[in-house]
Amino acid sequence: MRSAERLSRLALGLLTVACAAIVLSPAPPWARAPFALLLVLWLPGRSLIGLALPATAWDAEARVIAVALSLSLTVVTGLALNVVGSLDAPGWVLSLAGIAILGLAATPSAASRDGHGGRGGAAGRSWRIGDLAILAIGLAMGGGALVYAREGANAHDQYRYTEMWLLPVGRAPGSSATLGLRNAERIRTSYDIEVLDGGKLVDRWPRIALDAGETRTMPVNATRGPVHRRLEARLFKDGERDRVYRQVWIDVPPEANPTTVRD
Amino acid sequence: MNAAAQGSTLAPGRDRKGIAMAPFRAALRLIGWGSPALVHASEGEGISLRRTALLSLGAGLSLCIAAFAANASRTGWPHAVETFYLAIALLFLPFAMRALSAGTGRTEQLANLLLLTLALFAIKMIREPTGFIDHDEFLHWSTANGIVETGRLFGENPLLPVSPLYPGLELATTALTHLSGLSVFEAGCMVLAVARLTFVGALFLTYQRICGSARIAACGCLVYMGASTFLVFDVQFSYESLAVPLVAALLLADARSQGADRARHVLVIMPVLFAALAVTHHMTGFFAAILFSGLAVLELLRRGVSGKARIWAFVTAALSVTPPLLWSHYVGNPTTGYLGPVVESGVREALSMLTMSMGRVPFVSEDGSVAPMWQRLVTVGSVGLTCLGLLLGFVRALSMAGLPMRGRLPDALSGIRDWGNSRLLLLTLVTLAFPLSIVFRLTRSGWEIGNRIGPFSFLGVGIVAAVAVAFFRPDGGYGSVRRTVLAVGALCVLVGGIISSQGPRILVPAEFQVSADSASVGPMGISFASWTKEWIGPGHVFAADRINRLLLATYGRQQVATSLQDGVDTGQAILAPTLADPDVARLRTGGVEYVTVDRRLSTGLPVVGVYFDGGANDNSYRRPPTPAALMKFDEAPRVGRAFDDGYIVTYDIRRLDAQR
Repeated sequence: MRSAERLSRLALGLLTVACAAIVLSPAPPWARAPFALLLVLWLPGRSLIGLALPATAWDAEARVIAVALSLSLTVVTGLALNVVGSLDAPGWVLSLAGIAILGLAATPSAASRDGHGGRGGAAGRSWRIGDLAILAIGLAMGGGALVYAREGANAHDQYRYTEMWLLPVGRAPGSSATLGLRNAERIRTSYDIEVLDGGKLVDRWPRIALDAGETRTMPVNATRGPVHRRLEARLFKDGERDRVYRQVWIDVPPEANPTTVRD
Repeated sequence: MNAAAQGSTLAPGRDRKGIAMAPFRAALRLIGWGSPALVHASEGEGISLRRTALLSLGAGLSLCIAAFAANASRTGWPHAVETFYLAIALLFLPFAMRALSAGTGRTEQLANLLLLTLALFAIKMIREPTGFIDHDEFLHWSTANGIVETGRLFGENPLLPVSPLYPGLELATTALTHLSGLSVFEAGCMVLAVARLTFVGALFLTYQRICGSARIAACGCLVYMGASTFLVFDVQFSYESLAVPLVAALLLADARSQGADRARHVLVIMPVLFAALAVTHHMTGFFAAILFSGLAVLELLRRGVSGKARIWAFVTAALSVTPPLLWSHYVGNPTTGYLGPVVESGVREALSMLTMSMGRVPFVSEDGSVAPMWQRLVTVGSVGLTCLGLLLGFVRALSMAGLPMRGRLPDALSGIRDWGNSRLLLLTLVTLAFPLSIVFRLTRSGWEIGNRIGPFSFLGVGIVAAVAVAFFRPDGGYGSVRRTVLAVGALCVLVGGIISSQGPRILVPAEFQVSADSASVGPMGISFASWTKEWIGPGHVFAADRINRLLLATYGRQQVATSLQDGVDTGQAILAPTLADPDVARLRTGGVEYVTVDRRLSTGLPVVGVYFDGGANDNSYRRPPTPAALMKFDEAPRVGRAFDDGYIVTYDIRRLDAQR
């Protein structure tokens, strides 16, 4: 019995080390997630229960409390990590795995009783392949329902629209403003753009075609003069020149020495 | 001598008195006065995996129907909500029937309950499969984002300034985010699912410890699921969703802390749980303090309790009170200013309602829409059934706790301190909060208080109603008709609870609704908020309506002006017919750089009652703002119109004050 306990504790210790190593590895999130879950939601609490209640049967109650303890230890540990400025992955791994391993090391030998006694034991279970298959089908249907709901939510778009923006920040060399368009009309769409400086047409981009979801930006330069002026961009869709589909503008502040900066 | 003959020998006066008292005695018998103590039939330990597997198959099918309804709702199918509720009914009923069955062992009861809990959590995921959509979730999501980005706690969150001061849920979530690389949404859902399973597991095991019957415990959990907060509110990404499970774990730890293990439970396990609870949620922390203090008082009053047991009860109470008080003091007592006005106006309105002078019209939304008739009937039926359960179970539960609920009142009072089960007595007394929650729910400002009382009052309601059910058939041997009736009753309580919390807006509709939280969050608003992060950069101060400020703070990582944080109601400036000097002053005081105007606000009154965050005039709009009022910034000199998608327009007002 004592060797079984020791073996069980060793297995938990190895699991903790494995979890710590995997979550710090560059593995993708879906591969790291199960081990991170064990480290955050199970191992520290499991270890503390063993340490605090060595005479307790490892029953359903102890398991439930172990999960709650793990969550609580994570919260309390997070406060401590914040104090030392290590609220990051290495900090979490060191602290949570450390708690789990220290707890296991300090556990008296009678603590581990996995699978022995306890009221949540194996009494009356009848595990049949057919039952497990039905259970698996039920769970798969539940998972399928979630995937289906996700697809429905992703496909849901109440509006067809075009985003237009004009910002007084030049991203291209030499430009002083940026004009942007994003087509969310769900189909390829054709646009015309006019740029007016102080009410006067200074530039045009006719027949810009964007695919659904495509974004295009254009550099714009503003001429600074003695007074505040408005640099305005107007958007027309599908050749409808009588209706301004979108309009955006920026306020161009005055400058002592006005210079024409348009390309 | 038969009864008639006995009656004929009574004096005429006593006879009349006896006849007059007969209905009273019948009523007392009905509510359980003088009932014999409940003797459980023996219950097995085992599990029939076949039945559990079949239940999982039914649950899977129900979830498919629920997913179909959720997707159909997004395409405008008019019967989507009814179908969704039907799916919930199909999911719940078989589990309820099985829980009431005589042959269900303890392990199977627990396994089935956990399976049902997981399926009900999947219902929440079907509602919001790609991201958070409920209002409170955005508040805490913003806090979690702040922790992930800065690696520090206690940052600013203008949406809910108190949220960063109680970061329990966010810490557990961001730990998972840091370690796995999952998004906050994915990690949060995992934490919430585990917390929910822990809660129901702990509740079942606590009930089972307290009353000694797995069947009563399972029935109690099924009744608990009828709490209005159970299906949606308490699995939102919000602090009480972790705090309430911690309370259940504490109750379980306390219930099993007997004999030699007691010191270890009280001194090692419970302090960790209490500490985590204190930094997770203020209200739940204080509720736990009241609960464990109440338990200590009962143990002090109870006759025949050893001095040692009293000391441990006192120590537990001290442990429950100290962490929330210390933490509240450490973070600057933020809850007084935050909850105080809500409680004050709620109590004032409740008192006014009791004198019939005002109140909220039940089943009518703030925008005037009325819930369908079947929903009204189910909700009223749900409250009625809960009250009936309390009526039939309250005295019986007291009797089960060991109080002498029989004979003449003076005799009963003489043994009033002789109860044997303080925990059951306490939970029974907790049910007295249920009528209070109903009164609050009928008020406009106290609705939220009533809703928040729910998860706590139902800790008692669950077990008391289950005791009522068990007393009529302690062996659990209900015929299939009676089991069906009882299961349908439990279903009615469940659905009534969901309706009173979510009503007809449980699913995301096809069409946008004004200020309707989950029904207003859509891809267009998300795209705009993400645009601000990419093109303007995070950290700018935006003034926006209730929905866009949520999106800007989370997807856009912008600072948003709120009356909670700044004490300035920038909403008045956005809805004012013209841009007058006081409005400009409001925007300046709030440090606003950009104003976001959602033209869709002009299409209707706010469904939740406010366009912004309930500032000065936010509750008083009787008609929607005009489009001209919303677009008044077009005419303001030196204001840039930075973004336009046809519905949402953003103005750059950083130079606005220069010309005034």
